[in-house]
Amino acid sequence: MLNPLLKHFARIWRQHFALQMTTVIVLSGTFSVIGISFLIHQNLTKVLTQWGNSISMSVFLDDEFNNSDKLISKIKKSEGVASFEYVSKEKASQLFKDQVESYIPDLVFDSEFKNPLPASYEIKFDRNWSKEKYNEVVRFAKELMDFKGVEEVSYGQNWVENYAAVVDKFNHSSGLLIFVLLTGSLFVVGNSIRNSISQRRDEIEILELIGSTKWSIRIPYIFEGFVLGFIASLISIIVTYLVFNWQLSVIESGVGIVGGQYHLSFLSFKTQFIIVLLGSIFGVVGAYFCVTKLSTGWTAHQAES
Amino acid sequence: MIDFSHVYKTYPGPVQALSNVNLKIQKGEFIFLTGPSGSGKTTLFKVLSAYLKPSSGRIIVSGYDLNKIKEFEVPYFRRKIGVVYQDFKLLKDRSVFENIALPLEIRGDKTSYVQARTSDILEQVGLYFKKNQLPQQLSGGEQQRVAIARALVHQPGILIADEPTGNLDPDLSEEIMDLLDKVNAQGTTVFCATHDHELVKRRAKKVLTIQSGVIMEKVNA
Ligand SMILES: Nc1ncnc2c1ncn2[C@@H]1O[C@H](COP(=O)(O)OP(=O)(O)OP(=O)(O)O)[C@@H](O)[C@H]1O
Ligand SMILES: [Mg+2]
Repeated sequence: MLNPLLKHFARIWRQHFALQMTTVIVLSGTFSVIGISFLIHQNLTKVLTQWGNSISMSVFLDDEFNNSDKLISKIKKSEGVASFEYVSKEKASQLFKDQVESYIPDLVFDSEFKNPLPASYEIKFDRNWSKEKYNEVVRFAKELMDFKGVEEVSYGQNWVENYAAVVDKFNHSSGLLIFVLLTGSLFVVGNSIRNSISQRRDEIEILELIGSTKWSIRIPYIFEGFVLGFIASLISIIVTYLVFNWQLSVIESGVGIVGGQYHLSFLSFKTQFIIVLLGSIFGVVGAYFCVTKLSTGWTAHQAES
Repeated sequence: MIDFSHVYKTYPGPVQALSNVNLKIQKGEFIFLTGPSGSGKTTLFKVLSAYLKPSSGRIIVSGYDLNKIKEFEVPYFRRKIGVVYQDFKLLKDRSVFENIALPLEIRGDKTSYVQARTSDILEQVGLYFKKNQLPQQLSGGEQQRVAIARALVHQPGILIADEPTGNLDPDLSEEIMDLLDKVNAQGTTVFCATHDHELVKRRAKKVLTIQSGVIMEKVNA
């Protein structure tokens, strides 16, 4: 079964090398863009979940705060809270002093220093919980804000929200881009197969006349589409990997502007598999559309009347 | 075996290529078809082999009613017959051997049988030594013999041969005719178009003549 298919493929490559090559290159380019989008998507999301891993929240209290019992029980009851700690005005000031000591040594000894820092509760969340539930964290923060005497709840919301918006925008636009590219790749495969077929009208006619079935004539062309898609998607993974490595070296040489705590990673094996699968499927589908018009069983008849 | 009644074929133009053709050929017969160029011999063979659909009329071949034949049955019908086309219809990018083996491969025969049977028929048409050549590397007569070998390789019940000796010298023509006689003796019905009156005379077979798409029967004894 496979042997005749491979022979067909070898003949097509011998006879239409330039077109086949062009098709593979164009498809590889297309799939590479898709692979790179996947890669960016994955790493953008990863940064978001890594942030989730280390999420902590500061609930700042004003000086008149007096219903700590209620607040504590609210915090205790909340899902996902791993631990919390009360930081008094004095402790906050001490921590602050410890932090700035090396920069402004005088401050520490300044007896006139009036403590501007509020007391607060520092909440740490369960890793696995906060990873998935960014929205819950946001809601929890809003609920705490409603408490009388709570001045401010801070969990780095600004940059996270901006970042999440960027990720969202990226996901939408890359989704659209991928859709357009995949549609385009159908045409690219289709065009190549259509060419193979039109160059082989005579052969198809002869095969029909000596008794080949419709599908035994069609399947080699579908196989051709499959191989084109398969090869191109494999190449695209290699290209994506090269781009990834290059990107890594750029980031590393940029002295960690993005922050060393976030480790970028390459496409998972599963994603690579999905890309190859998608590539192959689109090759098959593109070929299939062309091939259904081929070999009706009466190609010779149609040609002569 | 072959039964035509009131068969007409009109090409766009319109050209009336077959006109009220009625034919009955029994199993095992050997029949020549003669007639001037453009009289409709090839067209008759084409409608007979399910290459073309007739414009009207009924054609029954090997138990298949070609008017009612289902699409999926067409290839199986075509496997039962062997056709030598006037223009050979060889696959340009496959060797002589691959061309001839094709009907067996299509049928799904075992490789060992395909090898043996193809080699055998190649010997019979005297082209074994050219088995790895491509068709365009052969002379017209050699290509014609490849076409004959391909039409016979799967031992069809009916052999339809459109001028199978048109490109052959007299000696080779005789050899090929002997081969057709041999397959006929083994039970294959042979229907053979030719311009070669000498050959027809020597062979003493039933002869049908066609003129402007109309069959005139006459027996050459
Ligand atoms: N595809 C076609 N379209 C239009 N007219 C055709 C076509 N094929 C054949 N004809 C016409 O039909 C008539 C019969 O042609 P056909 O090929 O059957 O003749 P033939 O007897 O085989 O001739 P020859 O001995 O030269 O092979 C001719 O007038 C020819 O011009
Ligand atoms: Mg003819």
